[in-house]
Amino acid sequence: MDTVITNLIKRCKKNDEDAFNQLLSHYEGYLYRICYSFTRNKEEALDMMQEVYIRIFRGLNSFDETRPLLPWLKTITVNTIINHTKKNRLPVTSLDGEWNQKGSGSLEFSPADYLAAEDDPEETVIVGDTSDIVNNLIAQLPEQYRMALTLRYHEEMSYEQIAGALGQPLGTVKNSVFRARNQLRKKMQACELLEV
Amino acid sequence: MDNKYSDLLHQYIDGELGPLEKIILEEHLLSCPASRRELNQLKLLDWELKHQPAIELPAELAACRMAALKAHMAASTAGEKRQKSSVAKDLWRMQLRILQNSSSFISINPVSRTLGRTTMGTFSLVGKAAGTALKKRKPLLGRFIPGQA
Repeated sequence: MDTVITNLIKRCKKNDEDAFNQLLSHYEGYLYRICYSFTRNKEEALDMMQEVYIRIFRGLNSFDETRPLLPWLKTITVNTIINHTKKNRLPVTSLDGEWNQKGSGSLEFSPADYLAAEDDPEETVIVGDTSDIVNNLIAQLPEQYRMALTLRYHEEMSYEQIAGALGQPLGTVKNSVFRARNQLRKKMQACELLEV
Repeated sequence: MDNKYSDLLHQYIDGELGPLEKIILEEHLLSCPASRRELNQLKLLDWELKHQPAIELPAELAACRMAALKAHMAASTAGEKRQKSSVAKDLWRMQLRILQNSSSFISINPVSRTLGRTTMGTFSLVGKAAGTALKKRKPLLGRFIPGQA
């Protein structure tokens, strides 16, 4: 591992505050993006990061600095996300339900908002671009599907790696990703965003 | 659509289709417009998911780190104090055990019982004498301290 990082870890073990700050500021952007790609909500992602930081600070004391640091940090982050969602389990919002449900990560617009108004064919009514829509739709996926999808697309993990990280059978992980894609596809189809 | 073909479509998107499965899927696609449509939609979706815009880092992230670090340092300091207090207590207990062990020979002394009785008897006599002396303290005090008679 990088000598600079190794030295920072050694200093962290001696409770060197400056070393903690230097080390974490190097990796926190990456870890935050993992949290955000799952929550799709800044406040929730920051809440998770608070817990991630504390677990890292505690765990560094017994971390073997000869091992690569990033995989260890990723594992902590993914485990924190899993535990956080278990503790703060939100009501599952089914994508088959009403579009305008209120609640965390809810979609407050209807597919009709994305279609041109019938009385004015030249008017284009688009609320937010496609990525915003995809963002909102991902936030509405059931946690299990959302987690598997996040690790697959954001972390580019193989199905085997995802199964290991989540402690689930390989078939379950593949099923989660396939179902997540199908749900997203159907909703985007309703928005006429996947017209070919 | 048949789940078997739907799964094959997803495996195709993931690039995990074997040669035989690929042939089976291609044969199926030739005769199923719904599957062709679904495949195209999945390709578009896959592209969207792979090209999500970069996530901006919030300004609050550094403050979040500092707050967590402060909490961790406070917890570490409290933990160290508890550890030191515990070390002092352990030392005291060890010294007490040493003292107890070093005086344990008394119990194996063959004359310890006699010694004990004698000692207790002596203490008893001394105690009685002290009690008597205290009762007669005035005259005693008067003998030793002027003006106390």
